[in-house]
Amino acid sequence: MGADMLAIDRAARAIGQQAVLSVQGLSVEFGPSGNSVYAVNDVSFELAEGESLAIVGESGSGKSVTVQTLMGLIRKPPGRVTTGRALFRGRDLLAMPDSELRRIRGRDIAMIFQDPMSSLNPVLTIGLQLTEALREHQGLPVKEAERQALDMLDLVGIANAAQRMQAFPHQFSGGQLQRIGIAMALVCKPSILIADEPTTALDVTIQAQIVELVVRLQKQLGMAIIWISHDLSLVAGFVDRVAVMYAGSIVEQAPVERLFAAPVHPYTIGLLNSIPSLNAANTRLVPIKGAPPNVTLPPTFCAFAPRCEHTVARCREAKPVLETVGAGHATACWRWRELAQAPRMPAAPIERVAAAPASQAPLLVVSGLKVHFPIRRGVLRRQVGAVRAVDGVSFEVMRGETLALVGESGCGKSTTGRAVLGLERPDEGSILFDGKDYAGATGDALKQRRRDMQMVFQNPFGSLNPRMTVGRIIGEGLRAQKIGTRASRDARVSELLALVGLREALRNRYPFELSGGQRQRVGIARALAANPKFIIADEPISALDVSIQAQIVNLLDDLKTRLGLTYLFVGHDLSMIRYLSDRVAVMYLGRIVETGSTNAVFGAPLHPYTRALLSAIPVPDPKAGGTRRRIVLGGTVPDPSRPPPGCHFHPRCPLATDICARVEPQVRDFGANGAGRHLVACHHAGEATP
Amino acid sequence: MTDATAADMTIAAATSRGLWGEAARRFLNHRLATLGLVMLAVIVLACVLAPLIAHYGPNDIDLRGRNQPPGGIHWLGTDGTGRDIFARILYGGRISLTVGFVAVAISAAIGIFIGCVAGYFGGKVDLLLMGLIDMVLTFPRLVIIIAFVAVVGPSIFNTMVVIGLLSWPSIARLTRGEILSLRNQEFILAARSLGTSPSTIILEHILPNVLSPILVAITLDVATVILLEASLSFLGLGAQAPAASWGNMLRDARTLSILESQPWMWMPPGAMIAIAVLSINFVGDGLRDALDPQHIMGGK
Repeated sequence: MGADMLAIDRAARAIGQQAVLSVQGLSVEFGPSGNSVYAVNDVSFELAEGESLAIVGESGSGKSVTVQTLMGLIRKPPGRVTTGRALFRGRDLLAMPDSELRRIRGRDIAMIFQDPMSSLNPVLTIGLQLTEALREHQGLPVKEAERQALDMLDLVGIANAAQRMQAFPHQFSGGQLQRIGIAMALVCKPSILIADEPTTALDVTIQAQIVELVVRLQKQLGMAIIWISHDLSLVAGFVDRVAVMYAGSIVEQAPVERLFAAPVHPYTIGLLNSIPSLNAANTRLVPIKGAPPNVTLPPTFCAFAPRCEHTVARCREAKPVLETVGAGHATACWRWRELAQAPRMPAAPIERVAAAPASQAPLLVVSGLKVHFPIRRGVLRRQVGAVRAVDGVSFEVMRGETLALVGESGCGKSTTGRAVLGLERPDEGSILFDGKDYAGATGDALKQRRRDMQMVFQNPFGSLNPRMTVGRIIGEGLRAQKIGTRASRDARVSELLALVGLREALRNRYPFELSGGQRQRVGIARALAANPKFIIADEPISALDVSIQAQIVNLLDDLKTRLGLTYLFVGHDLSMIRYLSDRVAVMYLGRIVETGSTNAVFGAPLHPYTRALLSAIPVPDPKAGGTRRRIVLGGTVPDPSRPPPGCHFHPRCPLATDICARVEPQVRDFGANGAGRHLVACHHAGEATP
Repeated sequence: MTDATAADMTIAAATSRGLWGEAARRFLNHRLATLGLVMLAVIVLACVLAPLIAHYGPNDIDLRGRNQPPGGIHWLGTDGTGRDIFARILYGGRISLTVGFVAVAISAAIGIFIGCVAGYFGGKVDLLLMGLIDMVLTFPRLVIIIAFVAVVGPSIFNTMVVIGLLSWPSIARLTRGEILSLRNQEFILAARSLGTSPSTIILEHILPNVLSPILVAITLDVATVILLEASLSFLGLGAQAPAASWGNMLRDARTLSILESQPWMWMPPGAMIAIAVLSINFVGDGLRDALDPQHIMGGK
């Protein structure tokens, strides 16, 4: 089948282009044979000079292991390459001795990583780390190496490069560090750059900067790129070809336009269906059922079969091989021919169940909320300043609606959520819930509030006590509030398990025995135990795989309708937020800059920050890349202990004038009659962005 | 990725047993730890069942058989007053081990409590308690114990109490550190947001998750305390004659002539101290490996 695949690749490429890298039938296993984890199964692909290929897959799909194997970065043991070759300009990377591979690594093939902070040595200056590779690989004298390193820092957009060469990694922000990581990878002008989720740890506006940088550098330096990602929408905008991996195998490979326009493999189709599209907000997401694959079984059948809607006996008996679908397009599915002829599933998109219209009576009114964290120094712990995490925030949540609080990391959205629940003590402001002021409540008042208000947490791994069973975790709120008897609590736990779609049998399991999606369901059940009216969901899906996110989003949606809940949804994934929320409040550096109905904010954003944020959302459509206008913000979010004077956003704002640096903008209502309020805090709200 | 797969495998292995079952399996796979546990069990049993095993009482005097080398009648020989060494080893073990376990139980109770309070509540409470810990740690332990025993008079009970009262700071520190790293985990936040009281949070959420390293430390402390008791008894400040403990048996055997010509009087108690301490340390190391939550939960 490897040969089959190569033929496709050859056919697809224009004459004269030559493969710089050709991976043939690569399989990698971990652990002792007989008890192996089959991480990569018979993976073949080619990469042409100057081409960019995205390898997309969820966690555990083997995408990272594949490229780490090429780079000789997996540990052996426990890792083992069982079959396959990886030809770099005709030489097999997997067969060459370490010393030779070391010469290629860094010089001809370079890599950038997900976490820029941990991939740089914290005790060496940036300059030393940059020049190291040049001196090592090219034997350049120090002066020359420094000159080239400087050029590279300029190229990746580090201002004041000459001085910054002497700085240490902790003196840079995350986005800058990723730029430096890129500079380090590119300093020897490699012919292949492998990018392993380089933007996953970054905020969406910074992500846009990095993607733009890599695309520009690729053109300038003419290198080929392998971009590893879990996000189909992100890569849609800038790669030539996409390979979709599932459970260690490539299930579909195609030029990017073709993959999005005419996907064939049920997994690819499922992935695309589970991403909310920006224009059809009212159709229900179609999640892929089930949980991520078990890679401890030998790959003798189609790994997607347990989750696929079209599974027949053959799928469980033999593993499909890659077959050509069209020019450069191949898939590994037994039934793709039949499925391609049948009308595309699901024929009619399911309308979302319309929730009872949100009333105009506010359930929660937050006004002038401030949460400052003191910075203490010295032996006497004297307060020398404060991190203004939340700096005067006001908003309302109507009964029965979903208000989304969005913003980048450090904007104070999570702290706001926690303060509302009483997990952080507000320094100023009032929190009216159901007409009662709860700011600074303690004791019984706080306990009562916790019956009415609950929280779903972000991290499905960290938010469940590893030493408690699922049943105890879910029942904890009932025990804490002394609700009911032991028997009635037990019955309630069963009810809750059913409500969130978990089997009763899971009650006695421990969290480590569950998948991420199941854990998040447990977290939701725990929050619902005491029948709250109001749920604060703090990024409840951002730690989950794409195909699982849609399951959880649909669950939250259903629960809202069934139980008449009101949600405060804290998040940064704007496309999910657009899908989920009725109204949106956009936060920047401790303040809300724009509030309005989801349609108004997403359709006609008035604050320049909102506009930049929205334009940075990756769209799952390769064609949109060229036509969409991107507003790429310069700089990064400032330190919240020393926010800029006036409007906090002015140093990065394309519309800023001198008034912005002096006067804090007042909130003004731009809402059209009858469409609800649309509040914006900006001196230049609504002006065209240059 | 490689770590994740390794963790997956451990999880798969752990699924069929409980968390503690899995830890027990790993402990028993640890050869030295199992050996240590067996030796310790033998020693404890022998000491407990001393009247059934030894033919003589610890203070029975065989006037005709003083300074006997090991033989058929007195298995490990007799001392200068004709007491059976083997019997004294067993009865002395009762005292040495009791002191070890009771003193550590006292210090663990104090240490865990103070560590929990300091770690969970933080702020001024923490500052105050940490100050106290630092103060206690600055005392040279042996000197304080000697001074204390000199005042209240030497006895086993006093020894246990005073060792217990002076040994808790290390456990308190450890507990506090573990709690600090756990306190901001989301599941603690979740418990707080459900309205769970601080005492329940500490007992149900925090202690079970910090127990493993504390258990290891406690085990190793037992060995230290047995050594400490031996030193005190050797100095004449622990168990008082005629009661036997391993330490004061060594004290009785400290003349040059005995050291040179009657090694059966000092070698058995010395060996017992060494074996007991070694066994406990093996068990501690085994526990450390078996209970390390990284094995079970995998990294984040």
